Amino acid sequence: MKHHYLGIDLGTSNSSCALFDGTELQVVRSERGSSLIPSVVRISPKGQIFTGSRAQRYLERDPANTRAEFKRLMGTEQQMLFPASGQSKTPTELSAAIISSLLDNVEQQFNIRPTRATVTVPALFDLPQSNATAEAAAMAGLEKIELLQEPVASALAAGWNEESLQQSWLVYDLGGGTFDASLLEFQDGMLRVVAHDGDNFLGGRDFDKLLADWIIAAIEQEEKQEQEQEEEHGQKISIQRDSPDKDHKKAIQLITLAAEETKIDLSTREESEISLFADVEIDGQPLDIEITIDRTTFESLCQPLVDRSIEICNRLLRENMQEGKLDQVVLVGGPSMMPIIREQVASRLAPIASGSLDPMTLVAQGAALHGASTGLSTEHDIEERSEENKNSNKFILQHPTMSSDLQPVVIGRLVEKSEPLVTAVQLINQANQWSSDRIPLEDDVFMLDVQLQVKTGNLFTLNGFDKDGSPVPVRPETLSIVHGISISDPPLSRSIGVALSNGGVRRFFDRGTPLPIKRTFTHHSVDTVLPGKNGGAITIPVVQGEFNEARYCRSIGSLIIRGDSLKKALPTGTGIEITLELDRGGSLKAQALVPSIDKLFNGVLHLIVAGADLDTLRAEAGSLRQRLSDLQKQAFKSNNRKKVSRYIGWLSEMEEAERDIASLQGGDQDAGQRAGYSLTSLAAKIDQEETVRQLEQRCQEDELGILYDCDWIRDYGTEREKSMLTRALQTLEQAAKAKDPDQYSRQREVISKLGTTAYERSPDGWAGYFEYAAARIHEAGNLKKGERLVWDGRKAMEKNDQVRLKKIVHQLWNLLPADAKTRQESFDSGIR
Amino acid sequence: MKVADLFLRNPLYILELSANATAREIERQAGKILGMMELEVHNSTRYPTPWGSQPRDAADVRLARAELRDPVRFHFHSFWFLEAEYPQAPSRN
Repeated sequence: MKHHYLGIDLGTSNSSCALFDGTELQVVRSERGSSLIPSVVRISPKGQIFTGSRAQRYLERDPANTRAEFKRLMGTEQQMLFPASGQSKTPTELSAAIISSLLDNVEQQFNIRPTRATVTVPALFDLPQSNATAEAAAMAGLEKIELLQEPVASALAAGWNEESLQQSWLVYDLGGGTFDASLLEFQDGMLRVVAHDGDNFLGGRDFDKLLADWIIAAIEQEEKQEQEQEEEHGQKISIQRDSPDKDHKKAIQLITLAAEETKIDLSTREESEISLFADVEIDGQPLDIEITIDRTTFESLCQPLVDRSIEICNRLLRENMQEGKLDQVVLVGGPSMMPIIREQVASRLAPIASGSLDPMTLVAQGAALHGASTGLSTEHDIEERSEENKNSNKFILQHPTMSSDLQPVVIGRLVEKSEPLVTAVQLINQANQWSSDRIPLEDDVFMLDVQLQVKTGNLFTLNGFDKDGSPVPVRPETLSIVHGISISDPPLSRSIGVALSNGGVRRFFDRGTPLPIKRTFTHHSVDTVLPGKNGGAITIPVVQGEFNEARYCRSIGSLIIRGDSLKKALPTGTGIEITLELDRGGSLKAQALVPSIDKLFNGVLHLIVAGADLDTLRAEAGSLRQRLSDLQKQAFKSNNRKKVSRYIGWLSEMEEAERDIASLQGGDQDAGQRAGYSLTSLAAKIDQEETVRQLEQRCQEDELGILYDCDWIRDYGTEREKSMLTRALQTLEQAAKAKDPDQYSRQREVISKLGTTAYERSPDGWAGYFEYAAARIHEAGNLKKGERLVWDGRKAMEKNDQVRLKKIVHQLWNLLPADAKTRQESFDSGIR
Repeated sequence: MKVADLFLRNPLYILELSANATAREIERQAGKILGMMELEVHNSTRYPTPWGSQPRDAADVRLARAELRDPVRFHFHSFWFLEAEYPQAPSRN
């Protein structure tokens, strides 16, 4: 039986899919013969759903009931309205409609309706966005899917199609809405993703937006000149991006569509004319545009965006390889066909791989190939059903479904026995008639190396033999291995952890960890939760990001243990075993086990991209601008040119975020999301800079604390601790001189830990801790338990039982709450 | 990482390879051990070291494979790897 593997590229502007049958890779075409379908959905007044080019036609004529670019809002709870039919849909539901339409095309062309597929996501998609993609696929009727990062898919397809791939190469994937850069290494048919980087808010759409802004400015300029020539003093036409007025919104939409067409036009022509005669009036004047733009002007507009993408690539290369070692670049995505991108990528990064690769469908092709490597065949169900009827010895097999190794290993275990019993097996490759020896089963297991034929599907027959050497029926009768590219486990693009109530982060998985991965850590609750609806809840926020402070990471969801799911109260300090599990596509599962009540909380993780609230963003931007301005003043005062130029760069990031906030006011939710990302990243940078500035002040404040620590270590420290203190004090001083806040913090922590250890050895050490905790007992989450512990502690002190006292102090610490502000900044984390 | 882990949790031990292992051998061995674990083959969840056998799970094997795929990390681990005779490996071939 021939297996088929389906790959789906769900894109921001266009989507496509491809089918691989183990030998041939075919791009699926729509009924109109196109390999791409526009990612556009329209709902008619009668409630009928149209997708692809049938919907795209209405983007201009009926924009209110036609939606595009919803991929950029995946994972949010944004409801997209279709007023004519009175319906509203989430971005996930709209994506499901697109996938469903791709499946229709497969059915039409190949007469199969797949229930399994590989669906691609951008490498830097946050977990809620990946999760929403998986949900969309399920809504479209796919029973089993694998998510695959887009650059890995492109790399797989490029590796399959190109005979002469060099050792190290970069995938430059500029899609409609996202930019991914991936560094890959190709050796002995083995593809390794070294690392990736990117920008979830940089894509072809941003080029359109820049051109649209240029068109608006040109209209205003033309208007002004006309008025000056005719000496009129009427009202000038002015199109506002942030205006809630529907005419302004419609004008912006029409101009953006015209900009997109012009951009495509300028890829092949030196000059393009923008003509727009729309039925829209702005401030009482009709919108009537006729402007010419040449490629040079357009390219000068685009240069900052091209620079931004190349800087991301350079950052990736700097961090992961020696200068000049990159062999070639594979371009992916429609916007990457722009001449300016091809020229600058080739001159500033490395030569571009052969032009035979189709940048528009490469991702879908790679996804189909990946299906073969993970065994995600569309025919699996049929095969299982037919096998159920057979009564024979059944094996479970383990082998790669795609392998670069010409001699992969096949392992099998006999799981269902029937008479005559199988005692030995043999594998025969139908492609080249290679045959293995008869291998006897050992503890019901066999293991053998098989021979593959190069770059094709290899179908093996599994033959069974009884103890006399006579053939016996076995299941499965065949197994299939494609010789191709082996792909390494994809690395995690951003670290994942849980926020703690003290403002810190417990990192579960570091960036770069190969997927899949699963880890468990135990934490303790900081509040008491009672059974019932009003009993409260323990929130365990899951965050993504590289910072140790929770407030600088992105909250991507929460694991919540609610009182209404409990039969028994969970007192403060209850141990909770938290497990996070990530699959290869970045889909996250979480569970919390509370051993004291022997209850497992499953599937309570709600993944969602935090909403971009206009007022919050404005307030945050205002505060950051003030802090940045203070830093700038300081830099000018001290005549520090390096810092001045750094802050000018940050200021332009700030201005871009403010422009996005203005666009959010005009209804552009995507711009709001982008502003949220930019402000978080700016806040982290400004904070770091302020820390450097504040280091001097911190050094003064720390003086007394360090003196106390030194005293404790001198009196109660071991000789080793004393010598560690001497070293730490020297490094601390050097760090203060070099204005290195990270090194300073590390050494301060070492001194503090040494001091604490010595203090705890002092006769009154634990008594001191106890008295401090007892003084705060009224704040305890469980007052009754707290008071009992204080009572027990006093008894232990009377008996001078230091071991008991230490245990009680730890229990008291678990009962006392974290400071409210820190907890709020840690997304209301209920654990420590 | 604890110093003891540089020895006991060395990816070369986890995958039962020598310091001369090729990229292909790393892939084949990791795939084989993962397959054996999946089929619950006897002893596949332990690996031998000169200091006695140690437990491993699928995540350890994948991490070990990822570490050894990176040439720089491979050199780092081969530095800490002590080539020695140790008890028979659990793998069958």
